Amino acid sequence: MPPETEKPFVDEKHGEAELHEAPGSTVLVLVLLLSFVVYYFANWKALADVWPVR
Amino acid sequence: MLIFWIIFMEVAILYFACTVPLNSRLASKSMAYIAFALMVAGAVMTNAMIWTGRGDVLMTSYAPLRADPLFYLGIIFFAVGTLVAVGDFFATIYIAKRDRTYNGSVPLVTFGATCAAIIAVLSLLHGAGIYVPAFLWSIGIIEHIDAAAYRVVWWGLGHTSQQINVCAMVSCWYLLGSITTGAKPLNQAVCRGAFVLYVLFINLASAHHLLVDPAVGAGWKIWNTSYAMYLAVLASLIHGFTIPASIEVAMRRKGHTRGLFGWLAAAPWKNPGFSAMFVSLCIFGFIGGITGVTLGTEQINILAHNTLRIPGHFHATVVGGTSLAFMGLAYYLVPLIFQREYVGKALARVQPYLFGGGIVLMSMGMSFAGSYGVPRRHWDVEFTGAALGHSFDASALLWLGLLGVGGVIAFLGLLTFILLTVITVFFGRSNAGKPMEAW
Repeated sequence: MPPETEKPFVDEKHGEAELHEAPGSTVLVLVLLLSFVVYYFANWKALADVWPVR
Repeated sequence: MLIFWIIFMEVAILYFACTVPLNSRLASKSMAYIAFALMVAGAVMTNAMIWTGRGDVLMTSYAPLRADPLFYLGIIFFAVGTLVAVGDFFATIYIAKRDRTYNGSVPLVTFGATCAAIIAVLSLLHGAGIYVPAFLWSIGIIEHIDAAAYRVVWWGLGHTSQQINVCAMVSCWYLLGSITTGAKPLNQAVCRGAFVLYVLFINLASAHHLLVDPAVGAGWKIWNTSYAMYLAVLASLIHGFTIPASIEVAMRRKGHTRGLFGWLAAAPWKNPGFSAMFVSLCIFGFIGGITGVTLGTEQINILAHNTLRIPGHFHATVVGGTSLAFMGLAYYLVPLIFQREYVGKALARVQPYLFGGGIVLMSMGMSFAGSYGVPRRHWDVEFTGAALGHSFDASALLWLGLLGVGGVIAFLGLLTFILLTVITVFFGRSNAGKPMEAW
């Protein structure tokens, strides 16, 4: 009997509204994006310090 | 290490992904062994040339630096062996589909492996396009190789080969998340679409390796690295959310719903498959990804090119990211394939943290030292004893020290993994006919 591939993710008890709630992961991703912004800013600032545009 | 260990493991992952999830036999075992023999022969030849000083051309082997012909021939053998293995993978997918060994679409892990295999073909064709002429040049059949053309074509091999790593690593993450926590992809279309983005846009991103190259124009550099590259970055951002989110959803379904991170605290951190996966994801995302995208920006690259910031980035991605994810996978594949329980399980539980922690320290040491201007690829950055020496800020030396400490810790983690795995393969307690013991 061939194995079945992954079925659609369905939760009968809680309904579809709570299926994809991942607030913790959302916070983790926002922390990642904030880190990105900070690191980008720091690098552009460092570039501006050594490479002035007149 | 960057090429040989990673690609051997990726070929193993391809063989796994096209057989076990699809309940199919491998298309040709004899071709698989031929591929393996070619890869081993090529790896031995190339490494022998390097160790005997006849291949001192760095990984990039830029013309007009010329190595011994056996250096190039070894790489060609390895590449041909890999292509044969990739061909065996595609043939197995075809056979599985033809014989209806599975229903519906291939599982996401197999889909990710297929994308990795497609990128591998692109990468290896570029490799053939540059290493065959280089070999002919090394034996005198071709008189001259254009250095600029060599560099452009070489990075068609160089960066795409790293994206094979990323595809395979992300596939590992999905697999390990599923095995260890029961996570399921939140949305198959989004996850698969992200893999397709890797295939379509990775060669545009390769341009970031040529940002200070005078042979290509500024417009080409800026378009590829400040705009087109982000289509590939988008794929990583998608996976960077969907994988932890799928784990969170699975853990919340099991009742771990306390606060924002109760699901994370309750995750199976003592399972080296899970811990390797999650630590790898964090290192790849926070350190590797952020530094990589920033360093790949055309203007910022002027600050960072050829400094230790570059190895600081790629050790986070390839070592802390890909290698650690593969180690996590090995903790399941070795008992599955060899039917032996892992020895030293207490040590195995600690190993991902040891290795990951060491890589974090090493990578941060490199990145911060590089930001002081410490160069890469140089054995004595302060030119000891030279008439006109150079000294860096004392802080740079502190970061170099941290690099050393991190490197030692990471090496201990690596040694632990190798010893445990080798001892398990030969002397581990048999679990034939029984389910693998839980971690």
